[in-house]
Amino acid sequence: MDKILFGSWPVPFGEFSLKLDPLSLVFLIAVTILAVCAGAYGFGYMRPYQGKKPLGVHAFFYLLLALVLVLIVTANNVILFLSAWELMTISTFFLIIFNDEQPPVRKAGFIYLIASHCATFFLFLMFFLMSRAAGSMAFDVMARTTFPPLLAGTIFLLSLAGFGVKAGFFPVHVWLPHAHPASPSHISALLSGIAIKMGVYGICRVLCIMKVLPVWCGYVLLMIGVVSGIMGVLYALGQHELKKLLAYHSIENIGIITLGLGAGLLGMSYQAPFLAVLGFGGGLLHVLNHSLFKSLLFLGAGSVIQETHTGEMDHMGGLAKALPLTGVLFLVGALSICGLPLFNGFISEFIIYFGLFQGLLGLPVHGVIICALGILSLGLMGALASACFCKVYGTVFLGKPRAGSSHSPEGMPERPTAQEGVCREGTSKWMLVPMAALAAACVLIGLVPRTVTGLTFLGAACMAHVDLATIQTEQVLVPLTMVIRVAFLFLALICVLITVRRLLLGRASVPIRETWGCGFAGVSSRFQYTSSSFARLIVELMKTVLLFRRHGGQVTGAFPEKTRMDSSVHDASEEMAYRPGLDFLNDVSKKLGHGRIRHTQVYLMYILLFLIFLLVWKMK
Amino acid sequence: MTLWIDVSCILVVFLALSVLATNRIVGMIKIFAVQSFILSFVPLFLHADAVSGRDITLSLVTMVLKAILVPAILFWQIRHISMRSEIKPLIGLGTSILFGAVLIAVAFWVSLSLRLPGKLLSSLVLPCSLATMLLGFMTMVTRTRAITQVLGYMVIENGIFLFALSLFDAMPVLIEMGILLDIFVAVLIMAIVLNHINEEFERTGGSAGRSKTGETV
Repeated sequence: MDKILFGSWPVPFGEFSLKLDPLSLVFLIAVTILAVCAGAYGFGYMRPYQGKKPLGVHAFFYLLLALVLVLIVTANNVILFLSAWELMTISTFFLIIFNDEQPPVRKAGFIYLIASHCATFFLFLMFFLMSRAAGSMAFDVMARTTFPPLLAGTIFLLSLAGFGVKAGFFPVHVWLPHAHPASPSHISALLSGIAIKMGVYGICRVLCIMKVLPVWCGYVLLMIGVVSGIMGVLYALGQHELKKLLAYHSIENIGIITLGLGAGLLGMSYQAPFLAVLGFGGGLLHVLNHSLFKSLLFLGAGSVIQETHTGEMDHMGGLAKALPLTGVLFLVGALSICGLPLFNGFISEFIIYFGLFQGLLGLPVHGVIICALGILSLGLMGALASACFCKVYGTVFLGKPRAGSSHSPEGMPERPTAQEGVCREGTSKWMLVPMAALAAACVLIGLVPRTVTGLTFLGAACMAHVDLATIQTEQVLVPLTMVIRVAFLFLALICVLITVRRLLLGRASVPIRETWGCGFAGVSSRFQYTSSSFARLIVELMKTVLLFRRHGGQVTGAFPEKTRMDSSVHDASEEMAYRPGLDFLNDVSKKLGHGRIRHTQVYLMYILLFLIFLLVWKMK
Repeated sequence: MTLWIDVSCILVVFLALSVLATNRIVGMIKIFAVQSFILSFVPLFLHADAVSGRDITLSLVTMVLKAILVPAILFWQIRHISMRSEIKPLIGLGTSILFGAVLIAVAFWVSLSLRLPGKLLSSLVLPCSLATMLLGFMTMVTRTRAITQVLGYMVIENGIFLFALSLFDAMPVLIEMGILLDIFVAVLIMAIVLNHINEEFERTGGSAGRSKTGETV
């Protein structure tokens, strides 16, 4: 199945060699689907900017990004891979800062650029270590090399540091929540759908090349998955901005993927090929699924933002009436991301669950503990994600429109009213069709999982270095089909009940009243539950791990004064680690800077200290 | 004769520490002169059995240059009353001595593992020369006046001289003489420059030269 394509490329150590194995294929499919869908959506989404912004530049970087994404997943040479990787960073940077006249957008772009470049440093180190051990810059030669355990562990940690930033693992995810709300929606979709998956691809590739890793690596990977998943979804619950919330959900889903990969790695370490294939397979399938439903959600969010000119969920409401089609498609995405049966998120999570339960049966006691932890946290993630999307769908699409400010977070120009190719709900067809295609893919995978499981299991077998024929994948697929059938039956039952209700009610008119009216005449649409109040219970419960801040809101006396309250959840890693750390570095560099040294004596002291250091150093 | 070299070495280090711990410029110059004077005897102890003409020459040149001429130039430089006043070091004298002690310890520790091409007459020569250099450096670090910088530099040079003596047979006497001459010329130039700066500042108002930047002359 592996195909290698060679071409000449006059770069030192470089070689234009492309290779397509099942692992690459999984990612390549996701890249192609997303690049086409998000591109088509962008065509409609960017129309209001026509003549106001240089769209040609944007399109150039978009196509460049699509090209290098394909190169990344197929590259078979370190230099080619790193070149494509850097090109991806740069083209993504220019795509993110499309609205570069706004300072937050520029800031987000620079955070992304700096984080990516810092991470690439580790990649250089890692690849050079690998090449040195293998004596070649080609991935397929490396894959035939056996690495000593210490080196393998080092390479594994370097790959976590290097690829983890791009993937958005929990403590190093800083760029993600900034970049997603700043960029245009189809770019967010591509970023979340595929750009962060490149980090996952990198880790998969390293795992695939390493073959034998120390046992602790599996535990580390699984724990990273657990932490990223739970923290991601908790932070998502606390967000008020739609795209920022979706960005945190990306962190959660990367956590789920990593959990699967970690389970697979444990399976490899403990010689449990079935667990390995299930873990890797579930992880890879979730890569595909997440790129489908998350880009669907981001595209839906884009339509919503274009309609309301705001990203604040507390200013939206009742959009299911204004955007019925987008509402339905968004619902499909939301159900998928919650991992509910009949949708694709369920399939991959089911496979990972199944793998972890296999781990409970077959692994030694440490493995059992970590697998149990994985199962519990996967359940917690699913539950919290459901709560979070109840909140999103409830505040954005249901209820009544809230009277709020209509400032645009993206600087979106007013849409011209009468326009060709615009359907009933006011969204361009260029935007609706890609979303419909993605939603259809989600439902298709959800209903007929065998369409993709064959491919992902093949990729998993490639990663686990086992022959897929020896693995009984039917063992998981049969119960999976069973669950889907039961869920389908349940759905059918609900449909039947609804029909019966309709029939029984007949033509009797049902009066439509104000929700929660209760006889009170002065009901305002601002009485509705806000997204913060919806999530408050869970967020306050988790106050210990989230930086939850609340201002005001306390009323006293029988006739209280007018008061206001706001609450927000801040990223703990950003506020408690990165910001103080960077401030400290800033201080140190300012103190070391030329401006601060006025005494010649201080210079002399540095020389003296350095002299002593050299003397002591050379002693040994 | 090794005994005398040891004694000289210890005295040199002790005097370097005294320079570090003195806050009067006149005192510092005097201590430096004494240190150079002691140092100038060391070449005579090098070859115990037969003192050669070379040793005597080196000893005499050192004594004239370092113990007499350089201090004389420095005294000439500070002939104004104001320059004799006390100077306040950047860190207290007690702390300076403490740091000096640490530096001496470092020098002894480091010299344990240093390999030299030739055989040493006394095991004290190497650590003492290192310690003298570091103490001189420390003097430069802790004092703010230009004249004290020159003094610190001269103490470093004395340390280097001691170090060079320990390699005496490996080093041609011509080079040693050249270095001595260089040092002398350097001190002369520095003294002249400082003198000019002083006169300039005194003509323009005196206190301008004593800004907090530590560039005070």
